[in-house]
Formats: sequence, structure tokens, C-alpha cells
Amino acid sequence: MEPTEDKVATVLVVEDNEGDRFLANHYLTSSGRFEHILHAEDGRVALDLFEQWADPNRENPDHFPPDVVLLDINMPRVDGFEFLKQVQAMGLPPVRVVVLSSSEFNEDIQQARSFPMVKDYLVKPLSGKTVTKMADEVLGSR
Amino acid sequence: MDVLDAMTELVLVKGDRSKLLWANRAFREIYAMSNEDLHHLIDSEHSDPDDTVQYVKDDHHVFTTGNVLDIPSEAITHADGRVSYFHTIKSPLFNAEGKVERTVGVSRPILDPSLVQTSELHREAHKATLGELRSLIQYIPFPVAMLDVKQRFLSHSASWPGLLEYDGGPLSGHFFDDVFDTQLPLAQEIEQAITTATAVHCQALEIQNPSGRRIYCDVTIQPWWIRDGQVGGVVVHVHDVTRLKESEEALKQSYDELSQFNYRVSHDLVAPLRTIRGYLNMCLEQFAENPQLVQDLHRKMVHRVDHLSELVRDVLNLTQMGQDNHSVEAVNLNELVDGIVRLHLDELAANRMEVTATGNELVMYTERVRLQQILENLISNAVKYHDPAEKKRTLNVTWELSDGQARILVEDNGLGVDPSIEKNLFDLFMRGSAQHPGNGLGLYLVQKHVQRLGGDIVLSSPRKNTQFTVRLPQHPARIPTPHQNMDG
Repeated sequence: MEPTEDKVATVLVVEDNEGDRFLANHYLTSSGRFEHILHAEDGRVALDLFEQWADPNRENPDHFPPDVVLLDINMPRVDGFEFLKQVQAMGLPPVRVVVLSSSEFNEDIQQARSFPMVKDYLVKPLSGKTVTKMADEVLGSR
Repeated sequence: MDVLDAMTELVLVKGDRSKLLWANRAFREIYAMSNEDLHHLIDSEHSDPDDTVQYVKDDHHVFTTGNVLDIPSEAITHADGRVSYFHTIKSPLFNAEGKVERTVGVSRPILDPSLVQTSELHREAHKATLGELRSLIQYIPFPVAMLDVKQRFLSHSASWPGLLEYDGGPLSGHFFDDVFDTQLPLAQEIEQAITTATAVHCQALEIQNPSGRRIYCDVTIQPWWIRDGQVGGVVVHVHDVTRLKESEEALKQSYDELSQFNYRVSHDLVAPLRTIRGYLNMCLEQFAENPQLVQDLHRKMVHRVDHLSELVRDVLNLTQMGQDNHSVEAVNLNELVDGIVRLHLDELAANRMEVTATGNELVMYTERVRLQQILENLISNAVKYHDPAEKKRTLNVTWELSDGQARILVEDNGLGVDPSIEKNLFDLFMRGSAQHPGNGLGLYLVQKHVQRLGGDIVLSSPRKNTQFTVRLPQHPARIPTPHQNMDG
């Protein structure tokens, strides 16, 4: 489905914490600004989706590529920074990433922003206002 | 050669390391040796070793400076034991590149009785000094070696061979790097100390001994002087700092763990609080419109708070883990396991898990608190990581005693361990999976407790039928402290 003027087609939420996934889903849904909300429960699952997209011999995952990825940092198996490193190395068309983390440490913020695909760094908890702002920025970047 | 053999003066040609290459007939008669006998010796066995030290020093001077050396008086011992004195001129012989390749010494006997007497007195004083220094070295109670300017052993302390695990016989007369080049490659440093006449220090050198044991040593190479004020060689002092180095490495590792711990704890304490904050925001927004949702959020917040409390408890356990104030006592393993299973009865029933605990009566002499935490953690993990799709969910705890070691197995048929994290399973903050989040401290704590009790823990069959095997000494004889080497 094509995005409308004021709606983002797809957002991919990469978050291991069930409570934070619930919050993200609630605010993304209730904002009415996102057509499709995909979830990946950690970096490994998210990487699998991107690898599927990168492989010309396989069909793209449904509603891929996402217009924006909402990415947690501290996750088991593959954390946010490792996810960014690996996706960057795949050489895919640029994907917009917004980091959503509990950490306010400067070194985490600097490290996230060192990746060109990271457009913003948000500190949890997510709110309705932040989600609306995020949707406006995604649409504004087209 | 006929001309040289016809001379009454002694003519001697030497090569690198003061090795004899050729001597004329006059010299060979004094030594009662042929050129074949002399070839590649530094000196004959009948020579006085203190005189040999002087020869080697003089050869070294000519080799390194390229200058002619005028030696007013040099003692030479005949094959029959008589000592005569000679005036010797030592000259360098250069190769095509201009480097000293050999020395040639021409020696004329000193016949003047007063000069001979002076030479004898001088020689006695030289021998006394050297003799005292050699004796002193032998009796120094730590690893010390005395070398001449060509880096040959003149003397060493009794503890020198032991430190370096050398059992190849007497060292006197051997070149240092011929024997110890692999363990202690110090030829350049020794040469530097001799040439500059200043001490050279080497810190924390890693030495691999023949047995494979690795030690760390501080080495000091100090020149020693002959009576004429020239450097006669070096004294090499080796100081074993292995314990200090291991303590430093243990301290660094502790510091690194603490840094990582601080970082992770501050995140892991903050993260659930932020989630709760998000729920509270939602409650405020949804309070009037959606009371059912608010109730749901309330339950989620309670769950988050419980998780946070568990984390704080584990962090406190971790900080207490390093303390050595737990007493050793008799612990009946049967009763301990039974007690822990009873504590988890409600949970086990709620998850429909069947538990068996099997083993002979076993009393261990150990720290109860640590053993309890080990078993509680493993049993609690088995409950936490049960497979909801499995109809028959089992948890088996068995134990046995063998050769003074208790072997305890905790086995379940739950979700197993993700192969991608298997090798890091016991790391700090390593979580099993995203589906069943723990705080990543449990198994780390278990391993630390096991190590503090002098045992080990192994995971096998990481998929179905996960099995943790804990081996612990029945008695506390070898329970190590953090900085104690297990090998003694």
C-alpha cells in the first residue's frame, strides 16, 4: 500500500523488552500516522529481515523496506550497535533509523550518531508527541 | 708460520669470543698442547680462571675498540703449574670491511726479578678481589649470576638454576646466551651494560621455563669493576615478580569487570524505571477513557517492579559474593536440595513441572550460603526456561561423591540454550533470550560461587535436556582466595 501524504508506510520496531514494545505499539498505532507497524524482538531478528531484503533470490519481507526503524540499543544476541554495523556493511539503499534507548550516556549517543543512517536519538519512554514529530520528519525528508 | 715458530716470543691468534685459533711453538711448549688441542678453546684447564678473566677482558677491549693494547704484565700458567709473567702487545686484525676479525698477541717474558715481584703482588690482589666477589655471589640468597665481559659465567648463586629450571650441570665457563638465550635473551642489554659501564634494568620480562611454567621477572644488569678501574663483566640479578604481575592482572580484570558492571547496572536499573514511567504516562492519558487498559498497565507495572527487585537482589548478592566472611560448615546436600525444591513448589506446580532429586546421603563441608545460591539459581532457571509446548516437563537433580568430589547434575527438558550465546553463557549480563528475559547475572553468580568453592561448572547438551554439571570438593582444603594461584 502506498503511503498517503500524512502517513508513513512502514515502521520497524526493534525492541527486546515486551513492555517497551507494548508502549511503542500503542503510541505508533494511536498516532494514526503509520500504515504498518512491524516488530523484531532483537537485533538478530531484525538483521534476518534485512538479509532477506538484501538477497535478490528471495522475496522481500512484507512491507519492506521500512521507512523508519525505531531501534533499541541494549538487546541480547545482537545489540543495536552491532545491528547498525551489519546493515551498513550490506550496502543497501539508505534506511532511516531513530534510536530509542534508556541510556543517556554521552558515549552511547555519540556512538549512535556516528552511523550516518541514524537521524535521531530518543530517550525512553516514548510519547505521543515524539511519535508525531517522528512521522513529520520522515515525511518531510522525502 | 716457520718464522713465527722460530721466535722465542709467544704469538697467539684469537677469534670471536676469545677463542684460540693459532699459537706458535713457544706458546704451545708452555701449554704442552698442539694447535689442534687449543683450537676453539678459550683457555686450557690448567690455567688460573682468574687470569682467564683478564685475558678475556683484554681481548674484548681490542675487539671493541680496534686499538692496540699494551699489557705491561700478564700471568701465564705453564702446564706444570709454574706461573711466568709476560709483557704482551695485543693488536687487532681487520677484515676487508674494516671490522676487527681477530687479535694477535705477542708476549715477551719479564725477567727482571723486581718486576716479577710487583706482578705477583698485583696478581694476588686481583685474584683476591675476584675470589671475594665470586664467593659473595654464590652465597647471595636470590638468583644472581656473575659474568665476564664476553658474557661467560664466572659464578652464580644457588637459587639461579632453580628459578630457570636449569639442570644441565656446572655453568662456569659457559656463555650466557648459549644456555639461556631462549628464556632470557639479554645479550644486547648485557653488552650495553659492559660498554656504557652503567646498570640496565628490564621490567616484567616474561620467561617461559622448560616445564612450560611462565614467570615474570625484573632483571638488573650491573657492571662490576677490576682493580684497574675497568669493567670486568656484569652481575645479573633476576627478581621473580610473578605473583605481583598476576595480582596486577587480576586487579585489572576486576577493574574491567567493575566498569562493565557499573555501566550495565546503571542501564538495567534505569530501563525498567523508564518503562514504568511510560506506563504511568499512558495511565494518565487513558484513565477516563479506558479503565480496562489502565488495569492492564497496572499489572504490567507490578511485573516490572518485581523484575527490578530481582535485579537489585542479584546485584546485592554479587557485591556480597566477593566477601570471604562465610563460614565452612557441614551441609547435608539431600536436605538442602529438598529445601530449595519446597521453596519453588508453587512455581513448579503452576508450570506443571515434575521434579526428581536423587542421590546417596552426602554431607559436604562447605559454605552453605554459596552452595544454596548455586542450586537455587540453577533450579530457578530450569523453572524459568521450561518449554511451554512440552507436555511432560521435567527437572532432575542428581548427585554423587567420587574421589572426594561431589558431582551435582541439574537437568531439564526446557527451552535450552541458544547456540549463539553458549560460549558466553557465564559472562556478566549475558541473557539467555529475549523471550524470557532474566537480568544476566544468575549464571555469572553461579560460576563465581562455584569457583570460590574450588570447583567448576559445565554446560552440556545446550538444546533439549539442558544439563549443568557442578563439581565441588567435599572438603574445603583447596578453596582458593581470589589472588591465590591454584598451583600453590
